[in-house]
Amino acid sequence: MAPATPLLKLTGIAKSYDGHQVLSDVSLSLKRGEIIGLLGENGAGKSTLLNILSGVVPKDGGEIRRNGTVIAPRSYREANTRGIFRVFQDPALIGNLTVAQNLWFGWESLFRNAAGLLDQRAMQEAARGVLASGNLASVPVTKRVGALPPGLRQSLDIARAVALADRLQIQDPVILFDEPTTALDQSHEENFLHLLDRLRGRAGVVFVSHRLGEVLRSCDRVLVLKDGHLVTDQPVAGLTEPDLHRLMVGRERGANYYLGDLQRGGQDKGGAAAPPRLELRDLRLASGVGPLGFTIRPGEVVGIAGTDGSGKRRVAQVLGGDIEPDQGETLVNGQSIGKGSVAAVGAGIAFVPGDRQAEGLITSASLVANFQLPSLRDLFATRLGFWRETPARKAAEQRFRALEVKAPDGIDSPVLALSGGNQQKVLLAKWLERAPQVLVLENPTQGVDSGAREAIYRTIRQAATDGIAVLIVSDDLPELIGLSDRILVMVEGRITREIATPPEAKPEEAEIVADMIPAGTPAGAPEDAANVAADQIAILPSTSAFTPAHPIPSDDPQAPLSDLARISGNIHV
Amino acid sequence: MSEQSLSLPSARPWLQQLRPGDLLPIAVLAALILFFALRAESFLSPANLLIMSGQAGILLLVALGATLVILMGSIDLSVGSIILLTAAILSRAVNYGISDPALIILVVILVGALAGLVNGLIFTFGKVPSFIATLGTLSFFAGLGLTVIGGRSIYFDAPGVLSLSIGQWIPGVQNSAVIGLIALALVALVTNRTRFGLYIYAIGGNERVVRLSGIGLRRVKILAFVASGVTAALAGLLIASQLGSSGPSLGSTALLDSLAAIVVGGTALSGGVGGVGRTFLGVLIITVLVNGLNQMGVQDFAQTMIKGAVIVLAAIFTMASQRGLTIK
Repeated sequence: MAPATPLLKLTGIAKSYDGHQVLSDVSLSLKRGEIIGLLGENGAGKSTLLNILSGVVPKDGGEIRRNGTVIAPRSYREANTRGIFRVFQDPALIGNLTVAQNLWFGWESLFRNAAGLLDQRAMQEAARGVLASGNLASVPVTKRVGALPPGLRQSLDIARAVALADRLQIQDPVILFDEPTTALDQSHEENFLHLLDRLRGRAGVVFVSHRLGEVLRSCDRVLVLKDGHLVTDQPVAGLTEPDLHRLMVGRERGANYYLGDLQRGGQDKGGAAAPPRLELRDLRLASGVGPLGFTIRPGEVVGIAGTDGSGKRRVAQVLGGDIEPDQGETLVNGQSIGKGSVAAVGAGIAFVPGDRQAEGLITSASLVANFQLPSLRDLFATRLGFWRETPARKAAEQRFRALEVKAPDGIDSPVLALSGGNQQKVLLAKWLERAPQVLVLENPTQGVDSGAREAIYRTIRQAATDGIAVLIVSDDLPELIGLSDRILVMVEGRITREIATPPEAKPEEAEIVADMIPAGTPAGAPEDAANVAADQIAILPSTSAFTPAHPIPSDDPQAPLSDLARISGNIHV
Repeated sequence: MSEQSLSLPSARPWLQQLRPGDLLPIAVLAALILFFALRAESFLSPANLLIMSGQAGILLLVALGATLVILMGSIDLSVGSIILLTAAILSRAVNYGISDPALIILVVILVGALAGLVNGLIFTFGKVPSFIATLGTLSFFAGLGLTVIGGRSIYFDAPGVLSLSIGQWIPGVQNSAVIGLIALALVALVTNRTRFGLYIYAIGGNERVVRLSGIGLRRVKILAFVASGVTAALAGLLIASQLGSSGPSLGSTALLDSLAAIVVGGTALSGGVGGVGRTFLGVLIITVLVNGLNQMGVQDFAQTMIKGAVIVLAAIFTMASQRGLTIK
C-alpha cells in the first residue's frame, strides 16, 4: 500500500534565539483526518514550532512540506493561503472591533462590493453563518469583542480559524490549536471537542494542551518535545495520564535542586517582639484585589501562587511601587513607607519584575549602566550629584564575577548581547548591590536556561541567609514549592490559603493547584481540576520564554488582543 | 562624549570608543570646510571666521539644552519662541533703564527658566507628550513675546549688553563663541559626570525601567526642560545683543537649525543615544554649511533646500550606524 502524501511533513526543523537552541531536528508528519497532541514543558519549544508553521517566525533550518510541496510561510497570512490556520494561545482578537470584523480580519478583501468598497453587511451575514454552525448563534456579530467574556472570545478565535479555511475554500486545512481550552468553561469546552470531531473528517489538527485528559480523549497520536528535541512520537492507544506526565517531565532532577538544605524558614531576630521585615496591611485595589495582607520575617522565603487572573502580580507591583494601591500600606521593619517606587527603593525594597526586557533592564545600555541605576541615589554619586564611576565599576565587576555573568565585552557589553539567564543575573545584581531589606521576585527564572537557574536559586538562598525577606511570585509551581518556606495561594484577588512548605515536608504540586482554582469553576475529578489550573499557570512562561522582544505581561487583558494585528502579515503596527 | 550607551569607561581614552559611524560627522565637516575653502575665497578670511564663531556659539547654546531634552526621548519645540520672548523682554527692560549687563543676564536666565518650568510642568503633570506640550507653548510664548514688543522691532542702546555677543574677551573670537564653549563644557560635565546626566540617558533608554529603579522621573524631566529654556534664553540674549534690537522674526530659524545640528551630529530623536559632543559637531556642520553657501552667493531658497537634504541624509546615515550599535 502506497502511503498517501501527508498533509504536513516536517523534516529537521531547527531554530535558535540568540545562540540558544530552541528547536533541533524536529521531524513529524500529519495525515489527513489525524489529530496529534503536542506536549512538552514550558520552554520545550511547542509555541516556537507552531510559530514556524504559521509563518510568525522564520525557521533556521529544515523543510516543511504541505501536500508534498515545500513551503516556507513568511507571514501568518501566507500560511493561511497555504491552508494552515492557528488558534493562538491568547485569543488573538482586537477588542475594539466587532465580532464580524474580527472574524474576517486581514481578509476583508473577500468582501468587496461592486464599487470595490468593503461590504460590511456581507461580512456580518457570513459571520452569522459561522457562529450558527459553531453553536454561538446567540453572539451578536456587531458587538465589540472587548465586551465579551474571555471564554467566548476564545471560542470566537477557534471559530475564526475554521471559518477562514472554509471561506478560502481549502479542502484539507491544517489547524494548529495552541492551548485553546485555557479560557474555556465547560460548555465552551464541549463545543470545542465537538468541533474537533467534526474536523477529524477532513482536516489535520495539531493540538497543544496541558490538559492531558483532553489529549488522551481527542488525539490519535502524541508527540513530546523536550528542550527542543522531539523525544516521543507514539499512538495514544494504551497511554494513561501518568504515562504522558512521565514522558513530558522525564528529566530527573537532583534531589537538592532547590537547595532545600539551605532552607532555614526565616530567622527570629530579637524574638517574637521584633516587627516583621515586611508587612503588607489591608491592601485593596479597585481592580479587584484585596483586602489582603501578610508579613515576612527576615530570612524567610514566601511564595505567592495563583492563576493569571488571581492578582498575584499586582501584589508584587504594589510592593515595588509600580502601582499605587487604593488602600493599604507597606511597612518595612515596622515603619510605614510611602507610595511609589522612589519610596519603595528608599525603604530597601528591591523589585525584580517579570518582564526583564521591558521593566527590569535598559537593554541598549551597558551592564554597568544598568547595575548602577538604582544606586546612583546614594552609593555611586556624591552628595552634590557627581557620579562615582570607579566605585560603581568595581562593584559591578565584583557582583558579576560572583554571579558568573558571561558577557562579550565585560561590564561594558550592552545587555542585549547577553542570554536570558545572564540578563537575569544582571538584574539580580543591580538590586542585590543595594543590600535590600526585602527582595520581591516575579517569575525569577522565566526564559532562563538550567545552568543560570541554579545560580539564581543559589543567589536567592544566599539572600535569605543574609536576612533578606524574600517574596517570590511565580507561575512555576515546582520552583515556588522548592524555594519557599510557605506559600500563599491567591484566588480572585484574595489570599485563600497558606501552606507551609518546610524542606522535609514539601507538598505535591496538585495539592496547591487544587486551591488555586476559583470557586464555581466546573471541575470533574480532582485531577482534572489540577490540570485546569496547571494549564492557566503555564500561560505566561510558554508564551514568553523565548520571545526575544516583548513578552506579554500576564495580567494585562489588553495586551494579547493586539496580537492579531501583529501576526496578520498585511498590517504593520 | 558618551556615545552609544550610558557607560563612559574612563579606563579607556575616548578616541578608542569611537566607532566607524561616529567618524561620519567629522568627515562631513572636513569635506564641507575643504569644499567651501576652494569655492569661496572669503570663506577662510579672518573676518568670516569671526562671524562664523559667533553664529556657531549662538546655535550651540540653543542646541545644548535641546540635546538634553532629546536625549530623554522628548522634544522642546518652543526654543525659538523662548528666544523671541527673551529678546522682547530684555529690549523692553533696557529701554526702561535697566542697562547693567549682570542684571540683564539674570533677567534672561529667569525668563528662560520660567518658560522651561512651564514646559516641564505641563509635560509631567499634564501627562501630555512633550511634542504637544511644547507645541502649545511654542505658540503661547511667541504670542507673549510679540505682545511685549507690540509686534514691531524695538531698538535699544546699552553698550554693556551689546558687547556681550560681539565683543572679544579673547581677541579674534566673538564672545558668543566663548559663551557657547563654556556652556558646552558645563553641559558635557553634567551629562557625562553627574547623576542627573546619567538619568537623562537612562530615561531615553527605557523610562519604565528608570521609574521602577526608584528614581523620581518628574524632577529630572522638569530640570531638563528648564535647562533647555535657559540655554534658549541665553541664545536670545546674544542674538538681540548682536542686533541691538528685537523683532517679530527673531528666533524663527532656531528650532529647525538646532534640531538639524542635533540630528546631523548623530543624537537619536528617540533618546538614549548621542550626546553634546555630537551636537557640537552638528552645530559646526550646520554653521559651516549655512555660512559657506552664503559666501558662495547661493540663493536663500536653494540654501533651504540644501539644508533639508543634508538633514535627511545625515539622519539616514546615523540611523544606519545606530542599528549596528544595538544589535549584536
